[in-house]
Amino acid sequence: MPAMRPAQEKEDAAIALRAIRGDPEAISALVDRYSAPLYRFIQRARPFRNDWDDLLQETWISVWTHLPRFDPRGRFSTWLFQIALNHCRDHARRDRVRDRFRTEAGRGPAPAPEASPEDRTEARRVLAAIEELPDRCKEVLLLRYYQGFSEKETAEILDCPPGTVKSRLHQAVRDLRRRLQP
Amino acid sequence: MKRPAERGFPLSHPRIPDVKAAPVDSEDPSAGPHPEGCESLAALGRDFPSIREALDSYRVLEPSALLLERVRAQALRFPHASPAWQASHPRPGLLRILAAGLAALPIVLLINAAMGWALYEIAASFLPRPAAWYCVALFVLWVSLGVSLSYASLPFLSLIPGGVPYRKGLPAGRSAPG
Repeated sequence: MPAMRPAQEKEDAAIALRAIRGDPEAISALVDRYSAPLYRFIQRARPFRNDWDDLLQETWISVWTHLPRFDPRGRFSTWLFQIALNHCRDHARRDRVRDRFRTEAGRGPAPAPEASPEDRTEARRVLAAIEELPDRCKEVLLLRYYQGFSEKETAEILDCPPGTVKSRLHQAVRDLRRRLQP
Repeated sequence: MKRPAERGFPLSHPRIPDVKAAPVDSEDPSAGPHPEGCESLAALGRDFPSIREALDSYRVLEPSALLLERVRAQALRFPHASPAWQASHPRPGLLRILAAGLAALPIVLLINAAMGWALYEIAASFLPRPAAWYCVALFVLWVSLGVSLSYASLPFLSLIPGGVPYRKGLPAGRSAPG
């Protein structure tokens, strides 16, 4: 989800307002537009888990519950991802045992079919290193690198100053470098 | 295990490889270009050029049609999706505001009573008693006026467009601080 253009932000706010008034088309439009990016974000935030479906549904339920309180002057996308991130954090807190490399049949990060065994091993090593980062650094990495949010949008989602986003990203890169050193 | 360089992977790119061109068959637009986010990772990419390649070799799943249908159905069942709910349901913002105001009322009265008593003690120390009571009566009058006007204005807060401003920093979904 690259940095949102202002026109798209205005369109989202208009759709959100219509959804607040109960327009079923607007509600469906929001689901269609954001379910896939949310689902991808959830998978990357919790790569070795299998609760993605539940998390997606919980996120949307929170959205519909609190949608009347959404301020249309704000960005709907950042508000939405803030909710998703909070739910991911709640799930992480509830996890008592982390089985980092547990996957179920057909679930878990799926290597591309054309990836060589070395690529898959390397990818797993990198993913495991990212998973070991402090949560605050991992979140910044996911939002900036994978979801393509700008520094300002990332700061809105994480509710911190943009400078903090920058410093956490640098810390994440530094930690990753240290962990991936041969 | 062959290192990336041995496989002919170019190490001299100033950016993480393919940052401008997402894989053609990738269904993930978030793998697309966002140079600002990649700048600080460029140095890491120079040392570990396999990072982006390795991460991109993992695809994430798309939500199934069944899951999307379930999400859509849940959304449309929500009370606010029904216009009849909006017409019959009292405005939740107003109720919450009144409840918060009434909950605070005993504390407000207690504080004001304490201030009135302190005022009487101070006034009585250098004024005749009737004069001290007069000061307290004036204080009580103004406090009553202020409290009445404050509580009378509470319903107007719910008329603010968009509702009472949501407390920043605790969006929906947050079950615990921190």
